[in-house]
Amino acid sequence: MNTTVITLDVAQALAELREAFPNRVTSEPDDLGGALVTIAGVSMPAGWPLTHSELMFVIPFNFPAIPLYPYYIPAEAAPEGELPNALQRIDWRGAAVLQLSLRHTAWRPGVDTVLGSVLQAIDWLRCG
Amino acid sequence: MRLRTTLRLTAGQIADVREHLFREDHDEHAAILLVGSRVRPGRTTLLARELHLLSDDEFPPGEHGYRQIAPQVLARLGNRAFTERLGLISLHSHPGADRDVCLSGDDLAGHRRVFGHLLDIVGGRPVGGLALGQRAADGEIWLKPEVISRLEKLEVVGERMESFGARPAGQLGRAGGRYDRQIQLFGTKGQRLLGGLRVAVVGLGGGGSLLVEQLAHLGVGEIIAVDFDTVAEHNLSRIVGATARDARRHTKKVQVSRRLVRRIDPSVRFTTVDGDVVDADVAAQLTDVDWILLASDTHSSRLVVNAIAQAYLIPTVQIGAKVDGRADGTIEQIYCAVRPVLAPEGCLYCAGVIDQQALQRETATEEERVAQDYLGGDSGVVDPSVITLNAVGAAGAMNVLLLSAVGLGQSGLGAHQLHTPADGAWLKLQVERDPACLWCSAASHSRFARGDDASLPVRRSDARRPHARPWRFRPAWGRLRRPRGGPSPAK
Repeated sequence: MNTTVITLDVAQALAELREAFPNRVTSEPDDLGGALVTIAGVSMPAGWPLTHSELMFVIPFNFPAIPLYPYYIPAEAAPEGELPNALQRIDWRGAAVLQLSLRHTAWRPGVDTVLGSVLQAIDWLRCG
Repeated sequence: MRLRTTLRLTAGQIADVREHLFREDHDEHAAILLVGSRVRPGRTTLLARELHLLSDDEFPPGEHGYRQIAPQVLARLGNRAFTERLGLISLHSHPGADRDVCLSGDDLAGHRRVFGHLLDIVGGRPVGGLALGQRAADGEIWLKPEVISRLEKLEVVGERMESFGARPAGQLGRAGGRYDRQIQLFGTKGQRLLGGLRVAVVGLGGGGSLLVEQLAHLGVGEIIAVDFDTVAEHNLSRIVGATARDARRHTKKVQVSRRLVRRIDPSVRFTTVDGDVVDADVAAQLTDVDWILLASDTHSSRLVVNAIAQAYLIPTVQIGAKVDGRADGTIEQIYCAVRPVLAPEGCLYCAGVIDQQALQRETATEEERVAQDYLGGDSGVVDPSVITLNAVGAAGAMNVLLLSAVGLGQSGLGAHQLHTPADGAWLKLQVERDPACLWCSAASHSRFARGDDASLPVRRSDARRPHARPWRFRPAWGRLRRPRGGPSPAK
């Protein structure tokens, strides 16, 4: 990725994710200074059609002033029918996705990390 | 090219410096500042981030002068400056000096011996040495071994601003009949200080237009007016100077303010910035003003301006008015707020007036806002706005600026104030600073006084909406597609 089009904070957050998830992180600039990020190979809840899928999110240009929110999962990963309250089926950037509305309610900029947020989302999916 | 260099400290820092340097023993004492910086061609501003008071053992009698800072202290703090990406400025007192002070020949010779090496230690960031009197400062700042400038002035940011150089400034300035009445309050010196100020006003709606009007009447040197919006009919009840013709023609608010200032006093310099302070190039124009008055109502603009105020030690006042309603549509309370940010005090983030959820909504695309509104939101709510409420905030902010700038501020001027017009009450609010705040704290991750090294929460300037191309998946994201034959996504 050309880091000149993302902010230094976003670049550092991406580096942190790449270190934690080697070869599983892809990203591209969102044109505002942030980045669109995909982490591959994330465990989906038990009983879903796909055992593993992708977790997607935007690291916004003003990160770390605000936490990551929300996360997205490809729609085909989930079963048809009713979903847990935190998941909504939506269209996002031209695709059908599940929006995972997992909000970090006590985010402390500069103290809490992007990795901590992503692990929280991964843990939520693992536990279903 | 003449190099102009300013050192900016907080009121708390200068109080500690004076107490340490000017003691009853009338001896020389020393301290070291680790500083962030704003460096532009011909102009450097140094921003005091860390103050290290030196003991007498760390400032012993010297071989080459009366006293000198111990080499191991310079090495230790130089290494810290390198690690923290800061410059290093030494301070020492000239006992007995009050409003005149001058670096001695020994001081300057010491700089020649040490500062070249010190520049290497701190990684090429500015180094310098200052001699201080009680209300005077003379200094030499090294940007490179071959680029050395004399300190132009030392500025103190606080409830009572101070600004001094090696000797008292002259009394020439914008005075005369026009300002006779206000000069009776703060004198020709105060008027001269006002005439030298560059003040940015962010947001030119009801509150901002009143700020611009008052700044022009007071005779400040330059107004930098920031707004991207145009006049609409509903603005005519409160934007000073706006006309029905402006609403019909969608005149830019910055142009209305320019016209207003020209009518009041054509000698006031007026700079229009037709843009959003959240954009990087607009925000950059605020990093060298003397004051920022923030009258924009978005949380993103509060975030950016607060970050600038803390990173560049620029005194700032945020104003706003809010009407809280009940579910049945009746009014619960009306508030007018005046919130000074006199770094590091008054941080808007610590004060809780920058809401993360609101920031997130403002940062999201329209599509994302709609998708995230599944529980219902307030994105479509238009808050009431009344010029009398705007005027309370504007007058409060102007009094903070005026009294602080001319040196008449007293303890308490920097408090956040909340007025409830319905019952006439004024509340002073104590801002409890978060010791880990990203913007105002002394924590290593904070951007306080880091100047150009502080990463501001701004948007890339070439990506302004609505001109930015729409975000769509690119090849890396192309695997996502609507499932064929599946159910329609539920909203």
